[in-house]
Amino acid sequence: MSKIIFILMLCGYMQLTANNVFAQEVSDISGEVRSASDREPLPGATIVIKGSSSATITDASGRFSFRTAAERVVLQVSYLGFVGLDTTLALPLDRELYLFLQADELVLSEVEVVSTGYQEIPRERASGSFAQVGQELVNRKVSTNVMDRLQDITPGVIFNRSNASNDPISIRGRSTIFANTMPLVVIDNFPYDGPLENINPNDVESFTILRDAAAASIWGARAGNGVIVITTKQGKRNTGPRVSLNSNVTVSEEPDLLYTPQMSSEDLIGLERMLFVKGFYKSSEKSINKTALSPVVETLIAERDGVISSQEADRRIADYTNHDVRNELQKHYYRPRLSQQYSLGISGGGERNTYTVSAGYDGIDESIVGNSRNRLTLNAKNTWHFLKEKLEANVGLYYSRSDISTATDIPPTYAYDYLEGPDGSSLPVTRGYSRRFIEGVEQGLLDWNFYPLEEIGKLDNKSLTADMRVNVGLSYKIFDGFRASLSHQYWNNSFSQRNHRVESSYFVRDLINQYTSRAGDGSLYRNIPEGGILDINSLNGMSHNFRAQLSYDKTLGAGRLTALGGYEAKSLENIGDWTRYYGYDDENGVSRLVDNMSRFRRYYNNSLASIPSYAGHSGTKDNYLSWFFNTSYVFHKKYVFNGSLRRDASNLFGVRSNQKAVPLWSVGASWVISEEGFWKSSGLPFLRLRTTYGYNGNVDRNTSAFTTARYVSADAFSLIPNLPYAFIVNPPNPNLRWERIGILNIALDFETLDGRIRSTVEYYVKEGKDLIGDSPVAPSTGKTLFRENFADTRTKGWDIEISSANLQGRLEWDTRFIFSAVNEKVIYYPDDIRASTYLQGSTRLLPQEGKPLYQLLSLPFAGLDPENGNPLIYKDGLPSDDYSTILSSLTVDELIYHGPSRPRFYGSLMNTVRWRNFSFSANMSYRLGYFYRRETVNYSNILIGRISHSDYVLRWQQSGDELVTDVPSMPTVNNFNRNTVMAYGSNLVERGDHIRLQDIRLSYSLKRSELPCLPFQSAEFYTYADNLGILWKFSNDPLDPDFRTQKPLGSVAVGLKVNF
Amino acid sequence: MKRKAIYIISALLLSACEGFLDEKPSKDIVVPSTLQDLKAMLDNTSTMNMTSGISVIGTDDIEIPADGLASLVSSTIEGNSYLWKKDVLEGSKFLDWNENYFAILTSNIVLDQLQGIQLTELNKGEWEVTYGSALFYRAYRYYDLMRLFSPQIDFDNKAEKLGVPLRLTSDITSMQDRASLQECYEQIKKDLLESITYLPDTPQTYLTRPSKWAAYGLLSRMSLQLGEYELALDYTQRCLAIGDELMDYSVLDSEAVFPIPQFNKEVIFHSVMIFYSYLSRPMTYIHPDLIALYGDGDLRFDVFFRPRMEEGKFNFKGNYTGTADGFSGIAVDEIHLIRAESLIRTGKVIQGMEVLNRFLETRWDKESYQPLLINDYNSALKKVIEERQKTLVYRGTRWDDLKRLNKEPELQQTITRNMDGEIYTLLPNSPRYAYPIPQQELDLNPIPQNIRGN
Repeated sequence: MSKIIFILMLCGYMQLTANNVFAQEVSDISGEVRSASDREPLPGATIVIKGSSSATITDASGRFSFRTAAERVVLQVSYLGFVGLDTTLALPLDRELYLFLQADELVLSEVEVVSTGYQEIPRERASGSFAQVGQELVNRKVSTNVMDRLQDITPGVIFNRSNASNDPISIRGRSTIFANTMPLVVIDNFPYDGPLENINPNDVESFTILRDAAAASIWGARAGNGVIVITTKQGKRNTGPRVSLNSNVTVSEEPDLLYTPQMSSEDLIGLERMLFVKGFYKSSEKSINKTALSPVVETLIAERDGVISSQEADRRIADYTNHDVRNELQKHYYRPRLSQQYSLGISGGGERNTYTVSAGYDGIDESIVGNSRNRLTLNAKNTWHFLKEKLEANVGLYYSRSDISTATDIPPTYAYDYLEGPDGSSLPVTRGYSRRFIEGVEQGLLDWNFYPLEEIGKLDNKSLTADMRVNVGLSYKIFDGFRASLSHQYWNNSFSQRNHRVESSYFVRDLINQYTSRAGDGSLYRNIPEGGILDINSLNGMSHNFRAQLSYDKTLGAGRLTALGGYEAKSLENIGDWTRYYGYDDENGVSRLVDNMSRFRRYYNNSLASIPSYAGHSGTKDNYLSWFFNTSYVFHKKYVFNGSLRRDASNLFGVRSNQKAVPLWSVGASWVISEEGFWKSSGLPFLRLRTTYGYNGNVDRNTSAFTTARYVSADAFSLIPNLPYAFIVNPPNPNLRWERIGILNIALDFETLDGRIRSTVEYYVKEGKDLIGDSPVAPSTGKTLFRENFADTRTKGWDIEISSANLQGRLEWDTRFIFSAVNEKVIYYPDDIRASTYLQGSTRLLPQEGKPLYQLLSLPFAGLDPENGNPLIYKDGLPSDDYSTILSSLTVDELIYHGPSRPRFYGSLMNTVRWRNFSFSANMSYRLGYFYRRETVNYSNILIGRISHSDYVLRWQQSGDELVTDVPSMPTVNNFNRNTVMAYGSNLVERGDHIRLQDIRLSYSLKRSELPCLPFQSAEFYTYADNLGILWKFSNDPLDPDFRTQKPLGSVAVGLKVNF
Repeated sequence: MKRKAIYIISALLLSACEGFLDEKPSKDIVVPSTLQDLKAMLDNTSTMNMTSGISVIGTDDIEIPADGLASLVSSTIEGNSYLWKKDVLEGSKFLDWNENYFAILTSNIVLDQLQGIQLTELNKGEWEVTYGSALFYRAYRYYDLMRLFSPQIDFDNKAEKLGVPLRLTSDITSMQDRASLQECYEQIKKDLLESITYLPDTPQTYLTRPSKWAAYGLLSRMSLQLGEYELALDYTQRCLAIGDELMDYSVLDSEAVFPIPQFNKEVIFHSVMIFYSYLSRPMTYIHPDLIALYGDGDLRFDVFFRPRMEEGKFNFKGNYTGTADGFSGIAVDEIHLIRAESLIRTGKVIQGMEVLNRFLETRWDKESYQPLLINDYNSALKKVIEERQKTLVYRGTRWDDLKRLNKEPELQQTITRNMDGEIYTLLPNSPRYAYPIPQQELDLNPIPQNIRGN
């Protein structure tokens, strides 16, 4: 009531002033509207002179101006997502007006949306588990690869480090055993089929991680490993062109070849001498294959045969003793990695359209001399609105081109090889064949020596990947709340590689020599012509995605109903072809034919082989048809119900048609408790409970219900060249089904007053059902392993995210803490393998009931035998060295179970401090609750004269050593079982728990709002340092628990970002 | 109108779906169902033309010094086999078992899939060859398993379950117990006889493919092993009727690294031994006792053996593969020798010696060859067995010969090894003539292990 009176009074006042208009001068009002938090201009804000019909809208830079004759005006400024501002002004003004709007926190969280790739859902209407990474976090790191931006900042997402080649990223643990392990990646509403290296992280607006069934089940049979949705930047309507420029340079450390501890050259040589005396090399020395022997062994042979004097032999060996080839490799082959990144983006929009155009370039000089890669990305994205907002059309074009150039390979060498002579000349090293053979070969062959240093930069191996996506979409509002849309994505990725090995390279000389034959008259002739060898490799990927969708969104009484349903078809095709040309002359572009049909006697060992044709073809095709439906109902803004259903069918090979389709579904509900009348807690103004349940699916393309066979073109060593043959891949398995992952998710979201502390706590249970596993079968069946749906797993875990604004004001301090706990267990997996095989369970998937998928087991180590230094293992409670009995009769219960070999707890703690124009953030990451096995000396390598771990020096050598070392003695003959026992003793197991300082970022920003003379809107100088080292670790092992063969290389980046 | 359009669109979508979901997901992957696919599976020579390779190491044809033994790739299987240790495998997998069964599975899949292929006038020829080939391959591999994993059959043990599991379908979910020795050999014979009705006389294009020639060859070999000499006579006659040509060793280049060419005219069916390092190691010497058996003018000596730098030591180079790979296939030379022995054993000593002499002529220097004039049964038998050993070096047959001759007291042999002063002995009829079945099999298919004594 009082408000109305106030307005009426104001009106009266205006009336009065208006009456005096002629007595006053007309004055100009101009200024800018900006956001109070980041001082960014707000284009499109509405400014109304209260009580008049005068109104204006700010332009792209947030500016406005108008004229009035009034003496006093009240300006009302409004902007979506901000608290409106009323300000009274006495005119005329003698300065520019700066109006700062406060962000409306409550309104904001209403606007916050999560994207599933099918729809954008306001957070408040979603009950599923969505983890979001917004613009600020996306931009925090400096990297070329888009996925790196997610590392250590997303609860539930881990970048695996041990044996991670087939599952580099896991969302809430590994949901499968042998099927596909990669999360589905969706970019701008469609799954992306290409390599993620093609995506420029500077184009990314946000990531959304779909972690549970309600969030992901709309992706059906491909969502079993979770979904990562990437949304790229998009212009805003009614904004002028906004140009942003980002450029940075990153320098990374050189790889450290000395990182892994290795025996010294002296020790290795001692060993070789011992083996030589024992006659170990005798048969290799005489071998028909001209087996390569190390320089020291060759020296010893020459000495024995009287070719060189023993003084000369000692001198040579002394030279080798003091030498380590790794130092030379480090010097000649490695350098700090240098990468540069430039990106330019322009975005904006008119009344009826929005646009974004961007270009990016990344150039990297790899850490190996001569190798480099670069990437160019170009994007253009447009949206138009027609027919009074009824029709919306969009087109997106994305192009990326990556060039990789490999000029140098790291050569295989003996530990003490010399690559460079004292005079700087390039020395030959032993490779492939014995030096005696190479030095004694007759005239007429090409030089058969391998000179590593001369090969540096000699490779001419270039590959080019061009990736293109075209998205088009049309959406039409049929009537209020009801929309129909059609969208299509065409994707094409072409990879072509051209590996030209020049005539002078060792590879070419060696192959030509191998296939040099002797004619009837004793003369030599070449079956492979002189000239380079050119390998051509091309891979072409192409996909079509088509989607037709109907959506409905309408307020019905006190509730709001949203529904969408549709049909999707996808076809993905990959075609590859490769071939080789001999006698290639790059200058004139000619090559010569060779006889691939005949088998020739190879020069060095007289065996029969045909000239490798290196020709082949591959082709795959995946077709999917899907139907989907998703609905949500919000009631009184506090109760939300979700449901989804999806059915997928695919041409997955051999699966019987009735099993081709699998329905996947989910249901969910959420309840905003703080909206209830009974909720009075002033400490927690926002509290919501969410829960969902449902199923996602997973596919193993490589398994089939029918017998499958693979065709092979005969290779160089086939008995009959050019007779194509087939071999059995799968014996028949009519019971094959798709894998299903049932997920229960319970979550609580809350905020304290003013949003100082916001937190989400989620608990989940994932049940893998009908997982495909390898069950061992009796070899008399013809197979030793058989793949079928029989395994069940259960994963339970927590994902917690807490952000806190510790200090606000001039000095701001924010903390973001994330914590994930994951406990995976194999529930059903009939174990039929020997207990001792489980010892490999940390590096191989050997599922065992009741244990995590990757587990660390060891043999109970009982010290060393004081008599002979043999490793002892507790067997039936007593130390024993009966290794074959131990390994064959040990039960699983007698092994020591340490725990999982992948972290059970992980997360990070990020602190950000802002003061004036400076911003500093540091991210610490931690991984806890897991185990790893230390490396040690491997005597089966030692006994064949190969270099091994430096523990060799610490080995037991005489009685009493057992008190100070746990490295067993060296056996006289290789004993496989003893080596196994040594490698898997409990004494080598370490806890992997550690905390590392992952990265820090420091930036300084300038804004025109603070310094109006600047030629740009804002600029940020930043520096970023990555892989800063371990702050704490549980074990005393000097090496990094997660990086056993090479340390994570530190890097420093500096960069500049400018917005115009 | 609108409704009509919807009908049309859905009809189009649905009809498109059928083909869409049936497309082959990978070019190189195929559900083997056409004759061409099945033939391609049998043409996989690296599986189908492979047999066990371990048995040569246990014979008296070779000797390996201690340092040679230590430098073998698999000191477990190779080393233990050389010394006839009780536990050969020590838990490791055994390709000689697994690979044979993989080939048997392939044969069974082909046989099962062929049942689903409609026979027409056009494909009848191909169908029959493929069917006959699969039967032959199956028999060939079961025979190979019996050589290695079963004791020599005799009147007392033939009904005992000392054979191998007989799997005759491609269903891999059912388990089979060991069959009796008799059942196994009967199955092999049955498969071979049936294959003969389908196979061509000589192999189609490649010697890696089966033929009637090969089936009769294997039947001859098996009949001799089982002591069925009359049958052996019949089969050798049928086999040699298809082809009996022998190489003349005097035209071979004995200086060559491998003097005998691959796919030479004696080869009836080509197969290769599973790779074991001992087969081509320089320190795998031919046993001096065997070396001593070759007389002056015997061309086999220079063609087969390469002298080593070490005094009086020889390596083998006479593989019928033309390479360092061991030849385990069927060749005409072996059939002639089977015929000679069968004739002698059935009392036709003169005819037997005639066959042997005709054979030996091709292995000797024409000038110095003196036909053997033996008409006494025992001497003739001893002679033909000696010539077998001298001819079929590194062919995998010596192990079988030792097994069967052990049943005859006057022909049985005791072999010994001296390893750094320690003496190892393989007595006649020792249970160690049957290799142990790999533990992986016993873990999942509880069949009785071969008892190998203490």
